[in-house]
Amino acid sequence: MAERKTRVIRRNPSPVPSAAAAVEAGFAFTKEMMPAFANGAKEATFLRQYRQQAWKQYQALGLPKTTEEAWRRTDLRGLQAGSFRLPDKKLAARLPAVPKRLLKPLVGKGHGGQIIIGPAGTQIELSKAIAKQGVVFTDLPTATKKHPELLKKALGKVVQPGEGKFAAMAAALAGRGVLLYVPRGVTVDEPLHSVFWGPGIGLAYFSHVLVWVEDGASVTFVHESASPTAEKQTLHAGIVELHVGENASLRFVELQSWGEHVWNFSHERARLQRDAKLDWIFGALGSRLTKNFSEISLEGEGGNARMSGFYFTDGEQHLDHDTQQNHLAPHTTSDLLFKGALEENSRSVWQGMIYVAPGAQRTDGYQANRNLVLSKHARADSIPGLEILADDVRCTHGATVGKIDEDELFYLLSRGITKQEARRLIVEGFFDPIMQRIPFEGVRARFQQAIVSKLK
Amino acid sequence: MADLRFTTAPDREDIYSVGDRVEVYCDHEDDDGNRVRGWMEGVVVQVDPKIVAVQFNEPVYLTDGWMVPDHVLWCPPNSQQIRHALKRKRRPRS
Repeated sequence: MAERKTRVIRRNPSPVPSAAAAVEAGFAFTKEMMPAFANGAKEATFLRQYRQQAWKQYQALGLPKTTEEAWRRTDLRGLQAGSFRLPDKKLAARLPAVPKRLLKPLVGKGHGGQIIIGPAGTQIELSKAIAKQGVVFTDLPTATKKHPELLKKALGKVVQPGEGKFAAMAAALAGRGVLLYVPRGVTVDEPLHSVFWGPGIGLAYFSHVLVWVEDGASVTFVHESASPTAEKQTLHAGIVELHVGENASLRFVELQSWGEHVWNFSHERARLQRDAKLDWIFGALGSRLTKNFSEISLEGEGGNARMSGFYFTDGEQHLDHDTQQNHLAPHTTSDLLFKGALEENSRSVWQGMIYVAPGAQRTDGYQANRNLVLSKHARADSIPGLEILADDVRCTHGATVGKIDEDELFYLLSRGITKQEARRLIVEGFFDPIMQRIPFEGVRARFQQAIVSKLK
Repeated sequence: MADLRFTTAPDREDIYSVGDRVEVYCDHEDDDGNRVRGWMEGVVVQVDPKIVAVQFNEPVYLTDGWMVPDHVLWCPPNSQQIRHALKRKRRPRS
């Protein structure tokens, strides 16, 4: 595979508001659909203000176009914006429930707590021992009622609604989501697990995940979004906000298994304070189209973040991941590796950027994206970038797009291995480096199922 | 469904060991010297997490017709083309 290195300087441009944007976008959402106003709900003042502000930004921002740099390779013209509606209770009762396989532990042998969020309602479990430690692990409506002070502390502090049309949409309309709060110095031994389940067609789902890990605390959190594949389209827009306090540690495992009819948009950011540690594992297997912004901001000296991403696409899938590693303080380390394989007519886009702020000396940043194209009709675009404004740093980046080496294939075939098995072995070997960064057998097993089914 | 090896625990016992008598579904010759495809008995000569190597006394062939010079074929351990020997070892042709 040929190594391609670029020196493109690129930052995510701020979206430019447009007056006629809401009409142009054609979504059928109204202000009355916001959870703050729906069904006579009475949300706290700060939450109403947050949603109202987000709604204004949603109305002001236009649907992204391919003329915008961040959206240049992802075309939304096929999105049937006007066809989406919020799932009501009557419809929710008819939709399929979460399959049991999604509720199995992905990390370790059990959960310390589990939240299942579906259109028909939410189930929340948290072990008494963890609750006794002061940990809050609940859904958004419960957090609004029982922990408004924590919600106020975390909401909108890491991801701003005005960052994009879909961020504003999710901020205004997300009535469902998760709040995880770990108090200072608390170590949560058992992993916590949440599943966001969004079945059905022509529906719009919005989610908001908030994780606030106080100084010196430690937790492992697994969040999965999933749905069965169906005809037509469904929409999901989500926000993930992660705060890791001083000397705290967060392991965040995120799996995207949306059905292959879902148009999925998400804005995600982790903010790390001094000597904080983040291990972010990101797997993307589903959706018709995904546009994901994932960002790590190392704000305190000595912060250390690692992001391991994998994706496997087939059919007409289009996955676009936009990652950014912001080194805003000295002596910070980031290490990002994204690996993906593509079958049939699918397409992936990865745009990565390491930004080193002035004064962020002794930064060590790494980013790499490797793609294995398994079909002549598949396409992978890989655009790494660096923007360095300090003079004593080490930053490395690279990207490769390759196909199965015919010599490797021949070598295996020459020993009697069938072509199908040989391809599988090569794909397995390709993903091996990323799998070695994922010490969770459940996550690897989920990925295995996807590989086997996509290679058939 | 076949496993992928990286998803299995490292302490998992191997299905096959060196010296095991196994059968592999491959192209070989029958007693009359005709090229046939079927189960052929051999001995496991190497095992690693991804590949089991099996050696045969008789000539074996690739599906495109080429003879394998050292009579060694490889299989992933979870392949459907390898199994423990079910019958007595085939006698070599006289």
